[in-house]
Amino acid sequence: MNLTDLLLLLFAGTAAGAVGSMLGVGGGMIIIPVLTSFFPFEFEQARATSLFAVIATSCGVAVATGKERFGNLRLSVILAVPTALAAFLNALLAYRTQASVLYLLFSGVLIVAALLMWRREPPENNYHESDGASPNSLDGIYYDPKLGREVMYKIRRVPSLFGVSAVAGGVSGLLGVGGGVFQVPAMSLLGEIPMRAATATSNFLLGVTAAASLPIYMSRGHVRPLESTAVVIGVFGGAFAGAAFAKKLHGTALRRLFTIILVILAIQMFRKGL
Amino acid sequence: MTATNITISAKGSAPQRTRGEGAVGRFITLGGVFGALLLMIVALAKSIDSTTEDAPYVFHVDTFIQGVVDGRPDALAAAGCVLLVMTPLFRIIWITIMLTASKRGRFAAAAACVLAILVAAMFAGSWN
Repeated sequence: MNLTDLLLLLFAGTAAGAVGSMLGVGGGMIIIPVLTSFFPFEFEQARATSLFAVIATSCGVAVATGKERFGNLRLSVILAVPTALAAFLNALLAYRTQASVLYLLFSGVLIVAALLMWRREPPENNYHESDGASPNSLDGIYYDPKLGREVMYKIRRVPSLFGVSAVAGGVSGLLGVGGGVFQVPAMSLLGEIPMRAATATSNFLLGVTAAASLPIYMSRGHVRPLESTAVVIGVFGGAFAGAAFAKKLHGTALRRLFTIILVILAIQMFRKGL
Repeated sequence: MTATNITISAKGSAPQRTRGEGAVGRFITLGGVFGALLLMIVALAKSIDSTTEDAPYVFHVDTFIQGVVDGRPDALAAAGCVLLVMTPLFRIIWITIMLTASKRGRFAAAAACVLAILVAAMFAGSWN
């Protein structure tokens, strides 16, 4: 791989990191199709590189927004159990599944993600604030700078969130994506968690999920360190920039654009699977 | 407010703090991120002047360590990748331990985390 390729990987990583951090997803859904379509990457290598990118997005956003503690750590720890376990087991399963099947699955996940992204509820309007919330339980509290006050919320349907987390972790381990595209809507719609808290909590979970399945890829030699490095450095930069711009940009147009990109990538992956 | 683990700040002031995301938690994240970035940037800079096509040794522990000592780009990049993977794992282990209320519980949580990592490593190794 020459310098031009490394620079292109850096650029692809930057774009994925920026979009990922702005929309609360790991960026893997962009990285994998790009790597398999435009670079000489095997599917396993692309998945491993994508998982690095997911961790980089998660850590980059955590550093960039470290003082704004929107995330719910107690809920994160609880949901990390099914997510990480499913990711680990499904990374093993991925090695026993035909690549064409995984490509088709990936295409299906992209379509589902596109639909979820298109229909996503506007932020901060779908939760029941403070009615019975208790600081002793999983319920959360954070300071909202936009509202200028603290928001306390009660978490509902925790068993359902547990199930969705397991599915998200499974998809992550199997296909090398973060799974945030499932976690955030589930937390928002099922758990009735404010979008700000759901995105931050999901972002934390993405890193843990990817870190649980990556050792499987590492131990089988499917990591390309230098190429992963170029992508990860790009993703770091993109995640920082995305986190900073997310506060200023209007999300709807960006979400719609991302949806269209997802559909194009889904078609591309479907063709590879046939 | 130790019993509840949540300190509710005055209206309009800085956000509340949950145990586990204090100085040590931030140090783990920042240290991991910047350590990984430093290794990766050095690796990328070195790779411009050297060929790494013949380096399939990465992740075989002995040659990997030797590669890092020798400053080989692939090995440095791999070290950055490993550090990056460890960052969220260490972070959640720390948070899990700190969210446990009692001192005995924290020891149990720490032991459970170490055990889980060992079991996962053995399990992953046996599937090679």
